[in-house]
Amino acid sequence: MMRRTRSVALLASATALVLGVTACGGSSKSTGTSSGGATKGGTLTVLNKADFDHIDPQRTYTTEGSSTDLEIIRSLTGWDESSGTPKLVGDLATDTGTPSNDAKTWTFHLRTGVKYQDGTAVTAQDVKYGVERAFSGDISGGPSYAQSLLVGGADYKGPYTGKSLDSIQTPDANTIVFNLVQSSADFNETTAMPGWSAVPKAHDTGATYDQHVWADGPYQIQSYSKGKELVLVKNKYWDQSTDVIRQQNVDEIDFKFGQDEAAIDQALVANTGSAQTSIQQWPIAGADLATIANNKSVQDRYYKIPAPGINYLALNTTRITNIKVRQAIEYAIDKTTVRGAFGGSAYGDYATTMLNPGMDGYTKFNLYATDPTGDLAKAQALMAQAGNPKLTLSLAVEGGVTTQTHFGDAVKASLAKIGITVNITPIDASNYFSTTSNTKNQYDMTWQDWIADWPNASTVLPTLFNGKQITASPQSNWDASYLNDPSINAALQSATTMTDPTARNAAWGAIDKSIAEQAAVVPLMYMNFTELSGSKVGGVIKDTVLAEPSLVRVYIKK
Amino acid sequence: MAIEISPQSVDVAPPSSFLEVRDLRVHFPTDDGLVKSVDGVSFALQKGQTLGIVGESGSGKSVTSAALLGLHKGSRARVTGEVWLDGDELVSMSEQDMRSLRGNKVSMIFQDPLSALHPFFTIGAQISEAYRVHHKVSKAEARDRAVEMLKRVGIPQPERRVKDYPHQFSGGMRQRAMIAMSLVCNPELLIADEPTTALDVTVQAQILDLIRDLQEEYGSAVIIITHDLGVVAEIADDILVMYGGRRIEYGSVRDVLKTPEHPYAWGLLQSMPHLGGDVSERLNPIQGSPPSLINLPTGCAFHPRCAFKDQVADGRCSTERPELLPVPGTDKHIAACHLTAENKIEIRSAADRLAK
Amino acid sequence: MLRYLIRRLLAAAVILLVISVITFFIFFALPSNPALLACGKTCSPSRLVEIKHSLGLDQSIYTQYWEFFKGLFVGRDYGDASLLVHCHAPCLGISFQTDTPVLDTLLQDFPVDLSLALGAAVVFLILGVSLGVLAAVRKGRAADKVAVGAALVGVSLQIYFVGLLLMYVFVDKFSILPTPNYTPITQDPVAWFQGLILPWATLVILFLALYTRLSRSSMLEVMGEDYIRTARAKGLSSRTVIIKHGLRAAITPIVTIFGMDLGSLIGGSAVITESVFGINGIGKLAVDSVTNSDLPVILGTTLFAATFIVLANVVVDMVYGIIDPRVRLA
Repeated sequence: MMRRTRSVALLASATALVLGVTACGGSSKSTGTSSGGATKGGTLTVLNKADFDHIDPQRTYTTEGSSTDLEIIRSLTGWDESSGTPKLVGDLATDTGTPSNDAKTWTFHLRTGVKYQDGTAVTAQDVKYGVERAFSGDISGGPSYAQSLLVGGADYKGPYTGKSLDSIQTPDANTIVFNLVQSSADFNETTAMPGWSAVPKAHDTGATYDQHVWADGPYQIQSYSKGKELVLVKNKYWDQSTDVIRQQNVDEIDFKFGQDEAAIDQALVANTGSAQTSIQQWPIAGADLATIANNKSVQDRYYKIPAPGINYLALNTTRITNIKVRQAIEYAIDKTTVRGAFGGSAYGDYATTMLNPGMDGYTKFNLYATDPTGDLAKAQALMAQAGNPKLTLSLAVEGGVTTQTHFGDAVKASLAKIGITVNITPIDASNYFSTTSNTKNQYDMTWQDWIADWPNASTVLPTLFNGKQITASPQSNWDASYLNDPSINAALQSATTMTDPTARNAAWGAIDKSIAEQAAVVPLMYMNFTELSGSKVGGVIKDTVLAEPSLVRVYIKK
Repeated sequence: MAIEISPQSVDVAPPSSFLEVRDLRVHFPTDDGLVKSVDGVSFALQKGQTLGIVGESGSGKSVTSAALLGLHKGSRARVTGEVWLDGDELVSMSEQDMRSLRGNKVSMIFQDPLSALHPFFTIGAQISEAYRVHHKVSKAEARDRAVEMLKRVGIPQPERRVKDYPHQFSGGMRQRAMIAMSLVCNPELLIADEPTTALDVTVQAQILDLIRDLQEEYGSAVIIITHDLGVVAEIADDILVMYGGRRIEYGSVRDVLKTPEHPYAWGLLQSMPHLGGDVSERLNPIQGSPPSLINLPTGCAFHPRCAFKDQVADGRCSTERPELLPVPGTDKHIAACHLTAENKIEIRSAADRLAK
Repeated sequence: MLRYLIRRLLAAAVILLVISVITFFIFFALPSNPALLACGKTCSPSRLVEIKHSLGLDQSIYTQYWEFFKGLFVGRDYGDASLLVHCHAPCLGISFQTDTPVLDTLLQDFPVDLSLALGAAVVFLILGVSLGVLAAVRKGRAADKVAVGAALVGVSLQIYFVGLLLMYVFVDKFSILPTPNYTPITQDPVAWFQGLILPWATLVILFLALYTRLSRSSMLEVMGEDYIRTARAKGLSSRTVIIKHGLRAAITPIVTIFGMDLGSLIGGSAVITESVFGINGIGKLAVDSVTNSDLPVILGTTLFAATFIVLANVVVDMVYGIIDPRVRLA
């Protein structure tokens, strides 16, 4: 469950953040792919503890669902990660799009020869219709980039009302033009999300489209029993020559849902029978992680995938007002015990910044303790400067989750050393984020994590630190530290409008640093996601954008 | 120091009896110790005769009767002694052989027929089951036999009532049905365990009449177990008084009831309301409570409750166990008491004066 | 008898109605917000309104309940005009999460729970009662001690642990059995059987202990009854005494518990077993629905489970009437 809720990030829609201009705008030619080493045939089994929230491309917002959609549908752009680092490429589109009008207008030309599972051609009108679907109240759950970026998006209610959105134009069957309310230099990274894909109106089944997704990718749905099993088989109209990202190696992909995560881990470690040709999309269970990470015999099928995600402790700056106290907390937290709670070194490296290494805008710095165990002397000194207040602070954690209980204890033990009493407040895990993001519920400290939608600071810092959303979006406020610093708000806006990638990345780094200076958050760990496969599964790519084992080139070893 | 002898093992019955019980002992090992429920009981009974076994609850009378049916076989109870029935010894008999006798040659009427009848089976089914165990007959024949038996014991509309369940019968009718069930195989020995306890007085009399009539008809030997001397007086030929698992007095009904030799037997007599007696007459229940069967009092087991123990010299009642001795001038009357004949005459006349 | 049945069924309907009302109002009393969950992690106020409308949560709670209630008898329509979805009566609503009619999902999952429950229940009832009777008849001896000891071990084991252990030994390590899976019996009876062996075994281990202890104590009590002594005094064989007279009476309290257990198992109470083996039935559905604040499914699974428990009650009472003639159904 935890993972479902955190596969996200977006610009806080209502606050309408200004996005930057021309960053990763470079287009790349189709390179074509060879299936070297991959063998054809066989059935891949995917063992998942739960069904996807959605695989309707306009509704999916989880890493598992999005990764699965890569097999079934094609978005305008996509990430080719076969080389080890993510490279933006055209997917449905021939290239990564052309910005104009100060990056307020984006034009994409579709490839020819891309066909649905019934052999009909994918058209620009279908992409327009697909994007429009996301505006309907029935098509809930997906990201809201379309609503916040497209002109007229705030008022449009979707195609089921009989209206279409004028800001998406389709001058011909192979061209689609988007008109944005503001400059957006990395819009073509937005369009790599599954929602920017084609849905043929004739095959749209509305809210039940999850079970009837009409394929233009290499695999199509053969059967889908919600909560039990999804069977994908080859789409015979998919053509390798039109696709630079995917291959069509296995005959069938069989997703089985609902087995207990410990049972899945156990089966994959044992690697007998059908487990040899199986893989998991949900991460290894926390309780099994250390054992599996240290199990030499599984290392060649153990995927440790660095995620564009950060695990952090948010300090409510409106409740812990003394910056000396917040800084003392920065020094006092023993990150080794905290990481131990989440599963140890396999979980991820110690973090000192909010931006992950490898993300656009990342700048390396460390303002606080050099040792991950903390610096108690400095922490105590800062508390002395603050007048040694006898503080009692509340800490919100997810209830009923063992790792979270241990996390709470670790924080409590650390802060006890500087005279701060911590009251741990567990909140029901399924309501955790809706509770902490509601401004009615204020805690002194909350546990948080965040996974970027694509590896760019623009999907992290504006969402997590723009103070304007506190009043604009009181039920969905992701500024968990309630930082509402005019200079930081301005800097966020400024960074998004910068045209020069180098200067912009430097600006993001500077903002990250000034947030650290404010001691608004304690970055804890850069997250990894870890999955296992059976020994006969080959061609798995570490997808660092979705933090998933990508199946786009998977094959079964003979 | 108590002198431990076993006067109760004296063989008083003629060896030719239909039923002869010799030094029967039934002991139950428990966590608290050995419970000696029956401890050296002997008696004899001829066909056509009726023996009444009398005592308080816990005196061993019901355990004795269960031993006669071999019901302790397969349990933890230790049964010793001899039970001779028509030439067969039952204590050493196998469960298999015993089973063919049960309900057939020896049968039993239990007290409280509501709990002794199975609540889930019809009266008819329970009676015919008892018949079919020992007779190779069809279900229909067995059912006819059940109807016949119900009719015999005076159940009106037996064809209809045979399909009823025990809870649909009145208390008296249940007891009649119970009797019908025990008589279904024409037993030669019938043991009736408190057959009238749960019934009101008029029904009691009817049931006793019934048992007597049936006995005359079949010539069976009957043992009637009761704490009610009135029942014994009405139906029995001989009487055995038990206390703490032992015999304390035995003889013909005439002798024992006319001149009881043991203070316990006096007590039982005095605690008995007389039919037609003065309702204002004060009953004299025996003081105290029955003894522990694990740790019987030394000497005479009754001595802690005996009002006359002081009349025996040297405290012999609490140290020396009295022998069962024949009462002079009687046929087979025996009793176990240290009181002298003179003491008893004196006490009896005093008691008679008090009662008047 | 028929009148009794009708009266009981009417009472059952009232109970279910009350349960639905209580579930409904408890749901709205809790701090869950299904619209916010459906809206995604970041959600604008206007989008939230839109989704609330789509889920019907913008109406008053009374209207929502009335719509639900009406849907039970006449069905409901969902969605915008161009994509109307009709949910046929009896409509239990459409899942917020999967957008499929709840009843369809329940009926689809029902054979899973039925197979799981019936298969396991038959085994643990027969085995448990046999062991219990054996233990009672051999009270204090080796057979009794083994049965009681085994029962104690069974009851102390965590079902989660047992399930994983069985999986490890029979599937992962030695590949004796295929990975547990539900195959409809109509499709492939052998696969149905093989796929359910381990889940059955797990439930049997869990319940066996209970039934062994229950039937042992019930049997011990009955074997001390006067009518058992009567049966022996008739000259019946000990087999007849134990089975016909003893077990017949001892089975009544077991029937009560068994009815309840079977009812709740069919209704989806074997959720941990379902989860460990990945054979997902109504139990998993119910747990997920709570996690997802999926009101229609919460209502549906609650009512479904309640229906079976209530029905089990009626059946138990009727079986009682057959077993025990003192009970009169009127």
